[in-house]
Amino acid sequence: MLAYIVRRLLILPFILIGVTFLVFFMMQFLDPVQRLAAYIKSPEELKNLSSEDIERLIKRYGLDRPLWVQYLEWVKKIVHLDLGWSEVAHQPVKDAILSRFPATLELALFAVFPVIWVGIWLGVISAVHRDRLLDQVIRVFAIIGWSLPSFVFGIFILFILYGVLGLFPPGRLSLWAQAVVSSQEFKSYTGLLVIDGILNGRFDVALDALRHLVGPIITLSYLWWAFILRITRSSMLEALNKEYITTARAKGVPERLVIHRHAKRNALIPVVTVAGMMVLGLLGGVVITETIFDYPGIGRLAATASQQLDYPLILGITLFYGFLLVVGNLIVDVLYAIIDPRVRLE
Amino acid sequence: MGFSWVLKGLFKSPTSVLGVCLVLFFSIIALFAPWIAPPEYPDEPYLLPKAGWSAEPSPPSAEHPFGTTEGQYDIFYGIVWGARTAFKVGLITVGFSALIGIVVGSISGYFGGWVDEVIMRVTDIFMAFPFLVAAMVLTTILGKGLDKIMIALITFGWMGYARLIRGSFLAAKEELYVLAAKAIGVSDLSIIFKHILPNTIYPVIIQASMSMGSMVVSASALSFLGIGAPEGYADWGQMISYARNWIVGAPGDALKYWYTFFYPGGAIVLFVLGWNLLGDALRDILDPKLRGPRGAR
Amino acid sequence: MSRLLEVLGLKTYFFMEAGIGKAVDGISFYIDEGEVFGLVGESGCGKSVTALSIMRLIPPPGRIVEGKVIFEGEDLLKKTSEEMRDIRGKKISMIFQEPMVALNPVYTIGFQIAEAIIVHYPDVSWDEAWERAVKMLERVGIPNPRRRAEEYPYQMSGGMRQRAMIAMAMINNPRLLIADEPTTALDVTIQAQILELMDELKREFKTSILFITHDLGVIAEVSDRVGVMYGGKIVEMGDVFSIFDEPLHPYTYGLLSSLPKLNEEGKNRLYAIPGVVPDLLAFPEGCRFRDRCSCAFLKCEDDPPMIEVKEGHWVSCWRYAEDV
Repeated sequence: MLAYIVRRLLILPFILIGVTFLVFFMMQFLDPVQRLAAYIKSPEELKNLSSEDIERLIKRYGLDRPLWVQYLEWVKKIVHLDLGWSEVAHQPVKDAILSRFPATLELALFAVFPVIWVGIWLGVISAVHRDRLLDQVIRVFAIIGWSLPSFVFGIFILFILYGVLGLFPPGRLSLWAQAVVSSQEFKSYTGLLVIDGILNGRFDVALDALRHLVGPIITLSYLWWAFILRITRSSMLEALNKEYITTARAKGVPERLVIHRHAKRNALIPVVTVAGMMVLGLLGGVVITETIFDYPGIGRLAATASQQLDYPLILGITLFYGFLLVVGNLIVDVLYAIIDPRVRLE
Repeated sequence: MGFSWVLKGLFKSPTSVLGVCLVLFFSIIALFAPWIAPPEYPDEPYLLPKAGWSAEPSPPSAEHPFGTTEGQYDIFYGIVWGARTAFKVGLITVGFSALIGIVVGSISGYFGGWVDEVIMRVTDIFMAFPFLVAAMVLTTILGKGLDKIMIALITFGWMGYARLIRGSFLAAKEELYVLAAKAIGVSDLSIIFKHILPNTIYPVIIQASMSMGSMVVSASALSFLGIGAPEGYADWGQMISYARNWIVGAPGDALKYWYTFFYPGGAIVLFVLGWNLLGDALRDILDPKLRGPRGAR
Repeated sequence: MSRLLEVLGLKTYFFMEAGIGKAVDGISFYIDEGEVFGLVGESGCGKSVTALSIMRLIPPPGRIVEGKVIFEGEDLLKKTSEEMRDIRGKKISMIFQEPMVALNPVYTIGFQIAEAIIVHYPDVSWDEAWERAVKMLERVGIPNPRRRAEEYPYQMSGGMRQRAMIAMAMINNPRLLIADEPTTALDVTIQAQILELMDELKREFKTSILFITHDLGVIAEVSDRVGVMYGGKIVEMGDVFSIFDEPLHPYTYGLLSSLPKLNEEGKNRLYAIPGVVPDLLAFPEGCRFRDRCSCAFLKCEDDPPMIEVKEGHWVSCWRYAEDV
């Protein structure tokens, strides 16, 4: 077990270097002027650039030098978290990403529970009622959810919640709440508006923030239940076929405990990996859902950057994702090993 | 496992029959698009004909059976030619991803050792990015256009196949027959093609049919975000993005522009549903591990 | 001695797409108190299905279609599922062939034994249940039981796991223990230890045992009476001496002739009988053994009756029918 973690930690830097290679490689499809944007530190540098200035800047940042020199220079900048200036966000790329992160984190925190808990619950029911009516209904429900593109279902939910019911608007806050949050009295403790609202004693703000989360959470839940449900169902079926289940029944364990204590505990081990990947996906921001609900997280930032060809921001977000997933996957794998006693003690 | 046996399995459950029918339905539409919706500009059949210059969509009429969407693009034409786009994107991206995956996975699995280690770490690096974001970034860098989308999707779409094939190779290598073939001096390539690949191809077929839907959705998602297909191109994702501004309807009439969303949304959902049901059915038929115990079903 | 269990005309069928598999097809036997009844036969003959039928744990698509299972004077097949649940693990318990897969890998041994107490006696506290589990582990010969109770199944050897399994089965002092091939997966030396342990516990707890195995050597060692199963039916039944000394059924005879000598540690080459056990769906009509039987004759196309040749020694074969 320890050897496994050490091995993974040893490989980690190589994967991270690989990630920078890949991003640097993609940069090479841009011409030097476009690439130059990634080196600009402030808007002043961009003002009134003549072609000589550009030449000068290209020279200055070594964009005409051999590739490996460029790569090393670029990595040196990344290590110092200097990712360039974002035209779209009007701030340095690093700040743009960090300022959007709390919104994404808040959505992730509120979506994790319905997505994973309900997904597992449905999967267990489906497996226990295998091939009977309830199972068929859940499976049809799941396969529809699995076939719905997020941009179709998200718009549909927006249409129902906002267009028809007029209840849950897009965005992150209503205008009045926006004014409250940006006022002097409102202190930002966590950047998570629901929590900050409660801490400031402004429950109306917290409620307003929560109201704006409903649409994205419903969308994400339905689309991701399918995955959690499928894997829970199949590993639950596998567990229910094991001999230790017969043993449990043979010693008189009630069926409820046979399912929830003996089968589920074993069945959830593979689900951990999928759930971990989902949490990582949520933390990285969900491009389409955030875009549809106009939710100002990292996913929408990435979409805007792509639409407006803000290369420094795109590359910065890509690096952010790469590092998040590589480190996050390692954590998930270690967690997995901790949950499964067979792996834990090897 | 003969072909007729697979066919028989496909017609056993109502869901897989539905899947087959949906896929056939869209294949027919895509194949006969020039007859179902004759193009106005024969040189550029994928460009949607415009019925006027007003931005506001107009409801279904005799001339435009599904109505027109934002910018007066004909929805019916877009659905029909969009089916062609979907098949083009799906078949090309899935085909090339699977091909690259098979080649890479075969090399990795067959040679093992440090070759395998290096290839798998490279695979890890490609998997370090969320699929849609990676494809989005690469499309942005390469520039707009359907071909750029497809390149991006293939670039980040082959890893699943590579891992699958590698896994099968490692399992197959343990089997005696490969050792036997090696002992009598058969060359490496012929071992791969004659002995191992035929045994490992089923999981690839299952994965391929399952990812037809998701590849088309990813391409449409990029078009939806406005970084994929060019303006006015027959693509379901783009048509949904046209509907986006009208989805909330008019005051007092939320359903006023329903047709702008209903037809393209319905088309892509049914297309993906068809492929997913087909893939699910194929998996049930071809993957013995997932079948019930002792044929109990 | 009084009757503890009596199985009467039990039929358990599996309803599959390909047809009806008659895994257990009308068997009858009894077990007296304090007695060990051995059920012997090749794999697939219906021994395990018989055991699971008594426990009423037949998985779908299997179903008990007919018969009675009288335990302490009451028909188990007429019990509600809750009544049945309370009998399992308390009055009748069971141990299995593969203790590795029969124990839940994610719970400690101690937990799994203590759980068997708690589900039947909810008033017992977990601490007390745990203490009793540790004591039982000690009783079945597990060294350092307090530490072992905290361990997971895969941390133990095969023999230790089977001892833990036995501890779990015996913890509520059951009247009947069903042992389904309990020694098959173990080394010969460990086998002997486990058999000895079961014998000790049987005396100490006055438990009857239904001992299921394909191993005639083991059967000879542990049983008081023996039933020989073939194709879902009991073909011969009697006390252990009459079965081994004067086997009547051609199948029993075939099984025995493959043993070098009785009551000796031998190599169990059981398959000297021509042919193989057919698939569950492919048994012939009439006597199920007739395809492989060297002395089959025309009459064997009809179902043979159960004939009491000697007191307490029954055989199901036309050769012993007087009117033929």
